[in-house]
Amino acid sequence: MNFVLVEGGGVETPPILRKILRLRKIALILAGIAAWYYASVVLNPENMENTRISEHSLMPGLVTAKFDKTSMIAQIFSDLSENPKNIQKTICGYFHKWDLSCHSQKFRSNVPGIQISGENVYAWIRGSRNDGGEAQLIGVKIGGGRKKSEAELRNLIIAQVMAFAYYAKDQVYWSRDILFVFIDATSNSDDSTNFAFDAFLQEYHLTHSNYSTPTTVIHAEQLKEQCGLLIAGIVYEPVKWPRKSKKDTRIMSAAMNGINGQQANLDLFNSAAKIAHQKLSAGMALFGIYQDPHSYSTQAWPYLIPLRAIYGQGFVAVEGLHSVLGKYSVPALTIGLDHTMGPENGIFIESMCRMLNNALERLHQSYFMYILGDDMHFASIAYYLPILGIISAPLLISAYAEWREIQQIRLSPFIYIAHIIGALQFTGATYAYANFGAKIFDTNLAQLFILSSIIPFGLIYNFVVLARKSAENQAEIRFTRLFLQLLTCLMLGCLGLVNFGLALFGAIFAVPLVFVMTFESTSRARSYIRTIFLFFANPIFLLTFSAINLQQYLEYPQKVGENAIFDLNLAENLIYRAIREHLLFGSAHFALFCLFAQPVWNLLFLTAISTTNNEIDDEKMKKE
Amino acid sequence: MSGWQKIKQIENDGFLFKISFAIVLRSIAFQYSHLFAERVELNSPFYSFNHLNDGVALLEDGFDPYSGNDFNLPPISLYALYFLQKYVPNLLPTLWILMDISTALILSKISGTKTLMPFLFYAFNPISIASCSILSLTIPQNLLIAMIFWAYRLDYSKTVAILIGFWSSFTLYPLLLIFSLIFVANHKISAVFLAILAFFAANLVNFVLNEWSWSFLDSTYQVILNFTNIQPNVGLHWYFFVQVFEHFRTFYTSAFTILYFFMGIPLTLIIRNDKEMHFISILLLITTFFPYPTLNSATICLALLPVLEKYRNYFRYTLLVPTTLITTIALMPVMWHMWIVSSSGNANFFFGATLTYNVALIYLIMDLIFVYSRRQIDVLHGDSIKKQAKFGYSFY
Repeated sequence: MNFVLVEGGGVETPPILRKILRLRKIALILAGIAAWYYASVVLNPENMENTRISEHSLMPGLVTAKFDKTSMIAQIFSDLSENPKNIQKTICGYFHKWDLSCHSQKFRSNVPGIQISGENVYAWIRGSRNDGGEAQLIGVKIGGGRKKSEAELRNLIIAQVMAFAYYAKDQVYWSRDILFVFIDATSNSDDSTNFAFDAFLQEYHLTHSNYSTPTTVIHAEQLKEQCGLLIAGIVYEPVKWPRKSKKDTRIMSAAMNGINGQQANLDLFNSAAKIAHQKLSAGMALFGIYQDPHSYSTQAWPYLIPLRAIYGQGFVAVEGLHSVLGKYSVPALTIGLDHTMGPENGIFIESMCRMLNNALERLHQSYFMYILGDDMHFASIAYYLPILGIISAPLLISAYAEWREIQQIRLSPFIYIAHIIGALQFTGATYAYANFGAKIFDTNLAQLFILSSIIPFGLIYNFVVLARKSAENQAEIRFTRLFLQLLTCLMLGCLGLVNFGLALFGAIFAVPLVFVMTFESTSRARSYIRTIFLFFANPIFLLTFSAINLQQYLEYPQKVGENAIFDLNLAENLIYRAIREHLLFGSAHFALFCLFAQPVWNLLFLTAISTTNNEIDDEKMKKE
Repeated sequence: MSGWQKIKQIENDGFLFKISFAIVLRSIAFQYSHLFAERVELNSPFYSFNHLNDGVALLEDGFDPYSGNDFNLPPISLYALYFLQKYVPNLLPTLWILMDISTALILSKISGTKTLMPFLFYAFNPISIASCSILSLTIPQNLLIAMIFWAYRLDYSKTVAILIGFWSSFTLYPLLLIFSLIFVANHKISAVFLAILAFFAANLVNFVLNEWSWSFLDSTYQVILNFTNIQPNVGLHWYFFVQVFEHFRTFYTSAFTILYFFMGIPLTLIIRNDKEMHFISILLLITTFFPYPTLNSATICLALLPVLEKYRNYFRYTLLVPTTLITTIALMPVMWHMWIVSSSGNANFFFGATLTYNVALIYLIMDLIFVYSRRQIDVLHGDSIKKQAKFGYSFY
């Protein structure tokens, strides 16, 4: 290959790159339209792939189940209802009566900001063909319930699971141990229940999770019995959604989103859906909606489930107890059982156990990244990830254009300062919350955090340090533009591989903002207007705005407001939730917010307020 | 300029502040070293302080560290750490910070007074800071490289030869730098012999320290030449040798080794007129093709690039290579997370990132050869170049 020489060094730029640069001004609009069109094609369930059980070894879930201990359900349920304050003892009493081992485990929080304590129960059915190397887990909540009916429903599910245990203990084909965990949910708070499960899992794995902070948040008793690798976990709870569709199909529900964008293995969900279809004639509701996969035209908007899936993956750090299992790399689902289907539920639990009993190895990695359209259709990562690439493309084009213009690499000290401020906010807020709780010297921690987050340090730096128009300062601003464009692309790309939902929603806000704020402005008025706009596009404001309006629009996980633009209480709650989930479960939301969103917002002030000089000014600066 | 004036000048440049800030950053990083201690990107059998510590523990307990497969460092480093831990155990972090800052200072000395780019590139590189915090053995190695390059620029051929021989006794691959010795020794072969002599002398010391036994050779050199330790790292070899069938293994180990040690010949034939360019190219080859590298192995090579200021306008991949390096370095922990933690990826994901990282380094070497050749055209035929003139590779 021959290169055309250019005077003064180097070789000529390929013509294709020059052509791409001409599109720069309209790149954002073009990319937006292209991404919208592409997303509407790939996220339409009618265009998605059919789900399937890809591992033959999971087929035993579909053989004839023989659960026949329905009568035991009523007996256990009656005992549980009569002893609401001694549920743990009642459960263990049954297991001991059946000659199965059962123990309790007390736990509490070590962190002053989080006051949680309680007692879990766990029991074992040891597989006769097992060498003690592997187990499967069944989880159920015990106690609590905001209403009496809710508490009774919980007891019914406990009774159904225990009746299955009574049945399973006499079967000879178990090649994995079955671990039953009854998780303390007395406090009626999701956080406390998740904490309780985490306490058990932390001791089961004899380690802190991969995410947890060095400070031990959980103090829990050691387990009295152990086994090896948990191949998968299924948490059972009463179904939350309407139990019958318009066509009188029975409805169960499934939840699979884990912490930091993790998802349960698709094979695990597929098997559950197939068992529900074939044995119970039931459908699986996802994210609160049941969509009949055979008749889209007569039902709700087909994009609602994929959008809720993306939103849930992005913003709902802990969707349920199955999310906590994800911390320990255990694929897990929460299945909502219809309590009216007593015998069928036993059959379902048996089928799931027999399926996991036969799995030959860890569930395969190819099926961990997907977006479900309904319980029979999914889009894999190869199809949906390009959406993010298309949205981010204008920034890459801008970055290339900036690079061609850059004469001097001058790294702004404010890049360090902005990140240090973010790091201080992160460490300060988490330390304060962990050690003093939500109030520090009668001051609300979240309000302090919000106050520190809305100060435009970038603007202050601009007026104090970059006020003089010199060649060095212009070079610093120009390089900051390039830095911001590349940093945003890099962050979105990395995040997209781990948590597509968060990356996509982040890109929808970040890409236009960074693109507009880093575009050269020749007009001083335009620079001031966009700086004012940037001030109001603070990450906290955008987050609260999204929480109100996206949840309002998607109605998931629940409505939090009515067409509001900003709500200070909600912003405070979001911050507390992010800190708490970071401390308890290692959620990365708070870290990403402080270490990337905030610094980028601050750095954007440097580029937003700057104006590009005309040629005369450039010449003046060259003379300097 | 008097000594006092020089100090005042340094103060005026804010240089002392930069050094202090670099020290502060490293001291803070020590507080968070648990975040980096287990990272495969920053550790490998040849640069892991924990491995060295294990060897010292075995030595103290009266076992032969080389009887197993886990200890791969020569006896010199073993005894050096043994004495450091015995007499100044609390000073290890300070010593490592001192070594790292000294490397940065030598780099600034090399670059001259005009620009501080090599100093800034090294002292504020997050990878070198993180590596310092886990007491990575790449830190003393980088100091050694900086010293060699300094002496190399000053034409101290004997010092360079001895240091290259000494460094090669640790990881063998630096022996390729003997090609660069040709430039400092004024094209005499004596410096090459001196380097080889130093290499054998260092091994003799190792032999004596190892209680008159050659048992360390298998664990140090054979592991490098046969690629037997196939734990994941940022290098090119581990994944290949995980996948390769056993009966092809000998063929591929021979091919890889021979290829590497012969690469110095064409490179020396092309880059004949610029010793710095030659040295940095060879250094990049060592970094890229060493079977057990860490990210910090490349840090010093990248910090030395501003030395090639005269080629600045000739580089082709000025955006592509740096962004690819940064992107792949950011992707490595993501891919590792997907493979090991969330199970949503496999070994291919991590290897994909490391492979692209190495391809970027190879592109950098290619670009170095290109810019050298391109500049030679300007130097030799600058007056006769016409518009739209084309350029193709060939030996000239």
